Amino acid sequence: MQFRLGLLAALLISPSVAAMDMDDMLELHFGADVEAGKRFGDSATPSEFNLGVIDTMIHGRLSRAFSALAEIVYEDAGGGFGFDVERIVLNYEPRAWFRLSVGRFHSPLGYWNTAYHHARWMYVSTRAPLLAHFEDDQGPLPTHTIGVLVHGSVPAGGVRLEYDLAVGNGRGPRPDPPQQFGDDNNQKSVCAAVHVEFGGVRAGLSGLIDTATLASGENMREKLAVADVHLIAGDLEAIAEGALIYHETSGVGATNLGGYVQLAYWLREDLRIYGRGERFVRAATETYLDTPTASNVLGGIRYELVPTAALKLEGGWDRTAGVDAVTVRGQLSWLF
Amino acid sequence: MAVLGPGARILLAASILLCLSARAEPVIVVHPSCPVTRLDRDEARRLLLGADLSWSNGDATQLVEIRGDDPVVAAGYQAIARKTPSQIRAEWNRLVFAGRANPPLRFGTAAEARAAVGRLPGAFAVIDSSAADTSVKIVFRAPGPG
Repeated sequence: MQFRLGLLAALLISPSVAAMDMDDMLELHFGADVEAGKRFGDSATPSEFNLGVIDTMIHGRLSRAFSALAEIVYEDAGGGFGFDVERIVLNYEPRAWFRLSVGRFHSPLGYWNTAYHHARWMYVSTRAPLLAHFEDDQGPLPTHTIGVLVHGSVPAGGVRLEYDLAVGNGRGPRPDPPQQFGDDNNQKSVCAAVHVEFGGVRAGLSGLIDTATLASGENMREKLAVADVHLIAGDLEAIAEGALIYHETSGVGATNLGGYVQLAYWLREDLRIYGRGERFVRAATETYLDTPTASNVLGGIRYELVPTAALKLEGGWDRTAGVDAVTVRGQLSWLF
Repeated sequence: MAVLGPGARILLAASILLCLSARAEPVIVVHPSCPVTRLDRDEARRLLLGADLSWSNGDATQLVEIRGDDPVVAAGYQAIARKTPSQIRAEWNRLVFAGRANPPLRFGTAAEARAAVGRLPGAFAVIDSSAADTSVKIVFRAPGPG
């Protein structure tokens, strides 16, 4: 037994103590976007330029196996700059099939929330679909978790299996703000995901269970499941996600459903067209989420000015909580 | 002593560069413990673009780069993934930002990059074949700029 424990310890520790080339200890990435747009219709807004998300990400390589990552975002908070520590994690990654992250990370739910983060340059469109909005933007999913995440990928022939298992504080009394530091109850959220990648297709299921204590003192049970598919076939990229979000408070249940499909097509190396359709149905008995019932379709074009900066031009229609609107928007975004 | 004019100097430099690049052969080198012995073009592309982030033995891949604009590396990236070094860096920025990969390690010369690949399990680099030695394993040969 002692031998086995020693072997396990050696396996886990050896990569971190090996002398490695750590010339590039620290990397700083910076992303931002500037938009111009107008919203027409029942909820019209003035034409405007606006600053989007100003995102800084610091990555520190502490050893071969240990690294630290911090993502700090400045964004509009009621006319002033709001400051959010979106991610702050210490990673221990001795093997690709075993990675341990501790801190505040993106919950491993679906595709968008883990593939893209806050810098809008990362996604093809100007905005994320409603399903992937963050908690402070009426998002229906708990997109951030404070806790522990074990994840990894295992190649198996031509197939790659990926897994994620997270335990964290879960939701607070309201979706926004999410719990930023501690937890106000003893129940922890448990989130798990399994994905399979084969021949350009990645598909998977993820789920989360949690119990949140509301301001009234009642407990709300949450169960949610997300299915996602990401496909790259030649010059076409497709993303589809669907989610079921169930809440139960004092014996009253609410089942919310949402999903979207996004297609993008490379016309040239530096030019893509894209389109997306989305629907979110808020349950009549839902009392916790801020997310309204909404439908939207949009289309646009993305041009890479340079590999690290993009110009996006986009138009779309949406019906949000019964209010129709048409939006046109241009966005310059960058990340370096 | 004869002094070359500006035009002649440019011609001489261009000739030297042409001679060098005509002999260049970009290759992907990996750590000797890497389970792969040979990559096909698609596997090489997926590796370089970060689509595959682990080897079959469980080691995470680690891109090692030469700082600055190395013409052999640029030719290799173009041949393998049809991308410029800037585009490859942008792809890796995306992966690092997503928390899926560690940033590339960067060194000043091909010899330093090769030495790093020889020391780090999971590491790989695109270098000129003339810079490779027995401390690393060549798993892919790309046509050079010449």
